[in-house]
Amino acid sequence: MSGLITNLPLVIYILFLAGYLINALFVVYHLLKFGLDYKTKLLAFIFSVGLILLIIVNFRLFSKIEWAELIYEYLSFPKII
Amino acid sequence: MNIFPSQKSYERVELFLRRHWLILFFIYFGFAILFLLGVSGFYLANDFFSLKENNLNLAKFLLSFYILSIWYFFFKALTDFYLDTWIVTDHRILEIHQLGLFKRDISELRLSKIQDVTVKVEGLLPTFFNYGTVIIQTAGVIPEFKFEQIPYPQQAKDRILQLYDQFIKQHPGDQEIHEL
Repeated sequence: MSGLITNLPLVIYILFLAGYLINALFVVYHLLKFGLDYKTKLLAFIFSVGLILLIIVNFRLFSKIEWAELIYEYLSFPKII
Repeated sequence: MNIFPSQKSYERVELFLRRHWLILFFIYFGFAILFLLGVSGFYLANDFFSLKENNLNLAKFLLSFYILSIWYFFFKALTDFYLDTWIVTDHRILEIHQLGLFKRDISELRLSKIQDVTVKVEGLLPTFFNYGTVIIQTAGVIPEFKFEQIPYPQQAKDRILQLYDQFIKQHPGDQEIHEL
């Protein structure tokens, strides 16, 4: 039970991130496939680089959080450990 | 060199149009406001609630997620902007509309099918910044083509009518002379 609760944020986060990345890939695909000049290629490049940097920052911030502590604090689950 | 995929070897691109830069500016401005709202919300919450370390980390994570979302929607809006294109060649008109990510309309009109060209400039900003809509009435399947919010619509209209006259002179009976 305790493991499930503490791992739940990670599972939700990974699902969100996967959905986000799929949508982001569609944007890049459209810009590269249907763009008619260099501007759209440049946009796809800027978007991808920014996306990678933001995801790295986002993941680092996610891993800094003590999720178990937050869950027990805000959702008043009984502490098993 | 081909500017668009179905361009014929004998076809010359005369106008390559997108919406006016002011529309792009509105997109930038809107997302800049959203970004500033998020960042200022974070600092206000931090000052107001004096967040403890773990809560502060959570707030930073949420802010980062918010920025990630803005990044996505900003580029999605730019994709819509840059993929909406109107191309006028010396033979035809192409209207390419990107409607979200999975709907794309491409309409094509031979210059000989043009019946009437109208310019609409309505409102303070379009008048001041010289952008508007060019409406082309056609004798084709699609009754009208709309070049929306394009810069210098009057000049675009004049050029289209010039090209129409040239095309009619060079293609008697609407026959494609280059493919004979």
